[in-house]
Amino acid sequence: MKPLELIEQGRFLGEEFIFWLWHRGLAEGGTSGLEGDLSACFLDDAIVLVNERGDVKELSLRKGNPTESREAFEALSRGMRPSKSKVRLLSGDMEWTFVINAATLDTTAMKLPPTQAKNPEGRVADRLFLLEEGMSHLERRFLAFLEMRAQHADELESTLREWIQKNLESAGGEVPWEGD
Amino acid sequence: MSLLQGSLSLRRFLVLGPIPDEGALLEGLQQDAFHPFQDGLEEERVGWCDWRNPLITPPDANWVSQDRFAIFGLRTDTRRVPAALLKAHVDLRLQKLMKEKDLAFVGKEARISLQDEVKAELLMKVLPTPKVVEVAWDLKGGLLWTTATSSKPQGALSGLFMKSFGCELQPLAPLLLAGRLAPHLAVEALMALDPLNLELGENAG
Repeated sequence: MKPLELIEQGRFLGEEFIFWLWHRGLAEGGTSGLEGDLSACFLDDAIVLVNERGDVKELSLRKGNPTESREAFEALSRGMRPSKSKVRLLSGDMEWTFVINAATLDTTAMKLPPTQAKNPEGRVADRLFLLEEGMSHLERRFLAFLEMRAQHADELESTLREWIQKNLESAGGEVPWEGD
Repeated sequence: MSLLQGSLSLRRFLVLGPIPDEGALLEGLQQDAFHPFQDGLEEERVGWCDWRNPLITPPDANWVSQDRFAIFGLRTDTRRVPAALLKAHVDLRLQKLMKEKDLAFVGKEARISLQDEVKAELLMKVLPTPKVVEVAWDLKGGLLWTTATSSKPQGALSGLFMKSFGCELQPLAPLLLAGRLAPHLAVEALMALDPLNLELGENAG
């Protein structure tokens, strides 16, 4: 299979992974659910939702608190899926932020925890270590998601649907188009 | 934005093919090292350079190996003559030629030849625009990290990587990553999954 076909075939898994991170961030304190893993991962203040059907194909929610907004849950309830999101990952006193793309799992605009090394080889070694460390936190979550997705798809679907419904009902404030 | 400082945009690839030893790696980097433009009509040049400074070509062997990584840069230089400027120069040259030779008309082939001549002269005066993407090849893990996140530099990287090292690069997108992280879950089974239906309301299936 050609690389582009492989990317397209797996796009839904990337979208659902971001969905799952979103859910765990709000409902489970950002934990991975894995024993001994104290890291936390949250979707941050930028998310792009897409839908192949409907009048609106793409919705970009930025600034403020988009992941808890009524607008976001309205869009999810209408079948929109996350295609890209800013992510914040915390482990001990280290923090990574980046934008993850659902189709490719590329990470862009990644900010790494600071490094103290002054010389180029020290800096590059530190930063490669920090990169791998950040990606391994993300990969552990991806693996946990995959196992859930492959073995308990119905349970995952029902959990996420209930979560959308609950947040839709409890999201504060009126949506702009329903104001008086 | 680089491996050394600032924020990073990264893409990961799975490297398919035999991992070269240090000698073969350096040979590949030397063979396809970046060479600056000379004369001619070439508008783009691609080659390997040092990750610390794109003017160091081929990459310095002492700096390529960093722990289990091989680190180097892919430099792409482009030079262009603006079309309007080329046309203006060619028009003037044609007028001069017609006047000198007392010609009423210059044929298509002669025009093309003149245009190439003028373009080559102007290209010599244009400063190239260099773009450098960094590559960190995890030789033990069989993964490659690169700051090339758009399709054009990725295409150049894949092509030159195959030429220099005989290895293919496959983007580490969800299905490939799944196959790598969870070999107990068959990729075919994951590919056969239907997307979750998370749409609520009356239109949901």
